[in-house]
Amino acid sequence: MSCSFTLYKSSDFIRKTATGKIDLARSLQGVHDLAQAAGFHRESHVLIDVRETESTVTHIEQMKLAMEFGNYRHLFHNKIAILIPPTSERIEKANLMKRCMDAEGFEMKVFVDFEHVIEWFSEVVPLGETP
Amino acid sequence: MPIGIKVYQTKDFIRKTATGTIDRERSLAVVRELATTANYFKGHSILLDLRDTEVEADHADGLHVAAEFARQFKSFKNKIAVIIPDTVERMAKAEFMRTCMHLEGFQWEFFMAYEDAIDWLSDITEL
Repeated sequence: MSCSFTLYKSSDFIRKTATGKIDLARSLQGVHDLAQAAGFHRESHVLIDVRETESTVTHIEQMKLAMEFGNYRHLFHNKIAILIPPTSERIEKANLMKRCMDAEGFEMKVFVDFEHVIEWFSEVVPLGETP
Repeated sequence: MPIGIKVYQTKDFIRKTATGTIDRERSLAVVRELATTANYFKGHSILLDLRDTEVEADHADGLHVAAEFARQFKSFKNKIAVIIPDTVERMAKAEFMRTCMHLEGFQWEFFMAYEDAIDWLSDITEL
């Protein structure tokens, strides 16, 4: 048996979980909701959990969505993680969204695993390994 | 305020990840190592990740390990979350261990999913 110790200095985060079908109108509403919450919780990262959704948002609509996020840029101070289903179609869409968000000045990453989100949000300090 | 948004306040935690076979002797050694680390990082919760382990221990071993926790973690008030493989056998062992740890006064819970463990370790407020 081998063991490793790791110290996690966690950061607070706000989490928006969506289920079902998401289109542009619903996504825009989600941006407004998140912006309002992010404005109240300025030290928190943001997790958008859309694993239980189907997306009908097109590439052009994704750009509109990123621009809408950009309108609230002053309210988002920290990292934004988006958690998606592990399908090639959703990964491709999410990566395009990430590029749009990068262009708007956001620090955004795409994940398919909740555990990796927490790793990204936390300051992780390895403390060593024992045999 | 919008609905469907939750605020997670996650306390700092120490994560111990183990792999391979766990027996009584090694478990006791791990408890002591963990106590040393927890005493250094006071105020932290503990996450024990045992998903990649096999257990060679019976109920008597579980009682010994719980007793060792009680000896080593005298004033420990934080939560201890354990993640185990999703099998009937491991769940049965974890349930027995939980009973022992609760009798010793610990906030101890086991989970099969990392996400559920983080939920338990966090203070969650629904907006």
